Amino acid sequence: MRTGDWIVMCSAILFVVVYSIIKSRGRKNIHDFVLSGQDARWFTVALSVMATQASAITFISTPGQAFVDGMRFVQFYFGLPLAMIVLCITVLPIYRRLHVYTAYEYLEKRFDLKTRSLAAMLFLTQRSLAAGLTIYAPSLVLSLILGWNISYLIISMGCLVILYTTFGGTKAVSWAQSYQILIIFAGMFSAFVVILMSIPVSLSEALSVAGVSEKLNAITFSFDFNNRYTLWSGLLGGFFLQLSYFGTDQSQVQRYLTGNSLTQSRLGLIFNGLLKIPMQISILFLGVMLFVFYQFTVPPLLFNSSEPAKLQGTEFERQYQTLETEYARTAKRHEQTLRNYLNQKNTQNEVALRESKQQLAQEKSELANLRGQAALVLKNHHPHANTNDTNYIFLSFVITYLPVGLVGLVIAAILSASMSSCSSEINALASTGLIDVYKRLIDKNATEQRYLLVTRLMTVFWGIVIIIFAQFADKMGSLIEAVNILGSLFYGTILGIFLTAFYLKFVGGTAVFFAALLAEVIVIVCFVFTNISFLWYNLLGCVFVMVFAALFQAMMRFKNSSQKIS
Amino acid sequence: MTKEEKNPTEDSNTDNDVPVFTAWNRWYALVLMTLIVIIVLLTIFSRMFV
Repeated sequence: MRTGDWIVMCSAILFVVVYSIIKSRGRKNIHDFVLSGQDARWFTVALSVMATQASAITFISTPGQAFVDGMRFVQFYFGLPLAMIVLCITVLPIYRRLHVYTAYEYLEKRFDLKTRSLAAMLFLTQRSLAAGLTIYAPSLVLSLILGWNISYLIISMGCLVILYTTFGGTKAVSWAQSYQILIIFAGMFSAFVVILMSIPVSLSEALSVAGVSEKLNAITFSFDFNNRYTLWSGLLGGFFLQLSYFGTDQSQVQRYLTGNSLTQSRLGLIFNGLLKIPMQISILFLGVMLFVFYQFTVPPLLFNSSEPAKLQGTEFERQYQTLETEYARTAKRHEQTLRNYLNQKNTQNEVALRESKQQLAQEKSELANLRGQAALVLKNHHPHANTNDTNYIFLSFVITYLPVGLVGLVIAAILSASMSSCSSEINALASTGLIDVYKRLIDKNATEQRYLLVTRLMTVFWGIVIIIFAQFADKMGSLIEAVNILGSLFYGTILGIFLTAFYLKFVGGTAVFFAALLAEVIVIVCFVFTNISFLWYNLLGCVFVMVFAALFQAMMRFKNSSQKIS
Repeated sequence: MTKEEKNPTEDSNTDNDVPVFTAWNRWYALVLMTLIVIIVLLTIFSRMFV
């Protein structure tokens, strides 16, 4: 990065941190610290909810996902608008009416303490692991660009987030998010414009290239359960995942409970339902255009340049260089075939078009084969070499092709995205730790000052925990998928507990507690021993909890009535 | 203090800003229609350039 980039990046980040600390001064009690005094308008709620969900992973990994796999990932979000409607009608009014701080408080009112504690523990486990990934992503960016040690970067980023979250609580998180989302949109929009301007063909030709390369495959109607992203897994599995995430995950519940009335909270969620899919389509489309750009410019054999650099001076260096030369030659030939294809498309020559398509498919497989061989060379040199470069594709473009100043802006956008969701997560972990653990189980009658102190200490504690988890995040493949897989392992069960609470009025605490434990075990067994797409775990976990809870309750009633008769 | 805090059991749809239930139904319908339109447009779009 050049001086101009540093100035843009540091000014943007420091402005947000200092501004949020100044605006959130004077937190006097836990109502202020945890729910920001419940004074937010709908647009603050909407921005806060969107910024919490859209972490740096969204902006680093999603374009790479589209580059590799096309636009079909968008189907993952189709359940979100439906979930927003259900939340507005059912869950939100209940939380507001009961004046809860955390979602899990409701479970004790409906069931018992052990069910509340189980749900809170599942949340604390899942969210702290996922937050580790949230903070790992931007550190990955900086380590690639500056060549710094990633562990030190994770620690520095974590400390910055801990600083303003500990100081200002939810208020600081909300104020920061309002500006962070503006930086994010500005950064991504700039990158998108540069990509479009760098493509040497017209937009319609670019779309033809994306189409023939199967990158515009946004909708898949297949009923294959092993196919990760289909319309049905998105609508059904995605609906349960989003319902669980927004309805039971404290990092989101806390955001919309800051609304100054039920109306403001509802409007915030509705606008999230309206804007989320168009936002994801834009980011995926950016990735597709990036793919088109690299069809007319020879891409690196591996976008993660740090791995090939390790081969320098070894016996594998020459092998890798040979593969690079071959890859560049094949990529040039592929470019020429694409240009021929576009010309033939204009002349409507069907026979030639068919031949070109066959040739394109053959060259595509040759390119994939060469990348596979390169990965093998890296693995031969070092068995634990990271050959999955999905997360590096967008960043590699940013640092190579963006002009000075814009690189700094995009990096600031990625850091802002990470800080916004990470601060929400730490804030929610601390709130759950205080309300559901400390205040409920350890000290019920402490002063407000003591609770405030404990919340701040917990913020620091959870910040340190996620920094430690982040150190192991690089073994998890595509980050955006890793986060969602991790969420899907727990969300179904948590959602099942809440839906049982809302809709199966005859079920009691003991039945739902054991049903949740059994369902969680089954979901984990499915994850380890089957190939079922992870989106279905949300549906399975939820259904298992509800069915088992109803069965256990019926069995307990039958046993009780038998004892009475005898 | 907000209205719902004064009367927690009151029906949510009597909130100040959006006073009638049908107003919320329109919002929900808008969200659903947007989803359907997006799916239809994406289906057409993904088949247009193959």
